[in-house]
Amino acid sequence: MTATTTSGAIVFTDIVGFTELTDAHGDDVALALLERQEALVRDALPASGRVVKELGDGLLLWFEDPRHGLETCLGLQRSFEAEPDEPMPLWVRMGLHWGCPRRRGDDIIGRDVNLAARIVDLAGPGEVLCSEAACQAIGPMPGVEFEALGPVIVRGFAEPVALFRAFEPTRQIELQQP
Amino acid sequence: MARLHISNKSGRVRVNAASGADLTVDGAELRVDADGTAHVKGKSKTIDIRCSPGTDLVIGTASGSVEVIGQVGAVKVSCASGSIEIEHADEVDARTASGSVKVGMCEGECRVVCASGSVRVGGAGRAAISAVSGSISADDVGSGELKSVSGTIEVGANGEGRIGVKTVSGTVRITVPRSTAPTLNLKSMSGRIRRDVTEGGDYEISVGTVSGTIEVTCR
Repeated sequence: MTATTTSGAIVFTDIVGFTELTDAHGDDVALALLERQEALVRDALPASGRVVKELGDGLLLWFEDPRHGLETCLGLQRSFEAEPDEPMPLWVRMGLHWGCPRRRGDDIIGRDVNLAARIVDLAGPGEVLCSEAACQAIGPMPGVEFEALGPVIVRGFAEPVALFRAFEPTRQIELQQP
Repeated sequence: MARLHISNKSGRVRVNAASGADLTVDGAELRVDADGTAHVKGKSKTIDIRCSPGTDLVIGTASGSVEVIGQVGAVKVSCASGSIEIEHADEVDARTASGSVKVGMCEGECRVVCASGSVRVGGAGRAAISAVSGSISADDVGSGELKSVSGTIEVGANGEGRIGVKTVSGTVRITVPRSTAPTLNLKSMSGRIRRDVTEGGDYEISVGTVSGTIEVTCR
């Protein structure tokens, strides 16, 4: 099979503490949590974005336009934050990278996909972390700032990777107020 | 303000910010950019660094622990599996997948992301701390948002701002100064709630948990 290369934004999502939640509250609660996440993600996806595949408690998303990718991620974090914490809170972390993976059917594979998967490992609940390549592809966005977290050693990669935390300053202020 | 970027694959990183100290590095290469930013790049050995107080630090390791002694500027640390210890900083962003994090004092925002290790903060202007299964203990906190799935969360609020805590099954214990009267917004679906403070409108304490117990008391 000949694989084609395509450029775009690769996003991994991950439900924080899913293993612990499943262990403590059972499979039915875990399944309901996954369905809540999936429904919100599918509602939020623009025409240029799609769910590549489900990965247990996470999703691999693909966006042709990196700006759409970041807008969707930040919008989803607002949606997750607004969700009720009962019966279980939906705390999701996200990693976004821009690259040129190989297409294999509907799937995408390659170094850039692996890197995006590692980026999400360093994110906290409610956060969207971006690679430097993603920030450059996205460019300035009104209402969005990028805080440099510095070169980070990422498992499996020879060179440190510059990471940034994307955030909406107005939303941070809202969260800090009663 | 001096800036120092440090990366090390698997060895320990130890930074000592001492008054009057020139920048010295043992165990790794040192390169200084034209803008004055110093880069220290190690492979697997322990790196020992001396620098001046107030230096901004960016430190990345794969599996080694990080220790910062003395008072520094803004510190950003990421470890895949090492523990992180920072004595005194203006600002902190510390992330580790499996190690513990200990911050003595952070004047501004103290952001910590920790999966399975415990987090202990001696004081912070603002705390933004998340853990999955490890416990969180933060004293002398001005304001903050703290989250944990199953670990215990203990907060010593100093009464300067809003404290928000969310947990699924962990116990939440918050103490407030006796001289203050916070607004309490406490919610637990199945856990016990104990409130032993004078309520008022000085600042807000908001706690949400699914099954954990909540205690808010004076000190």
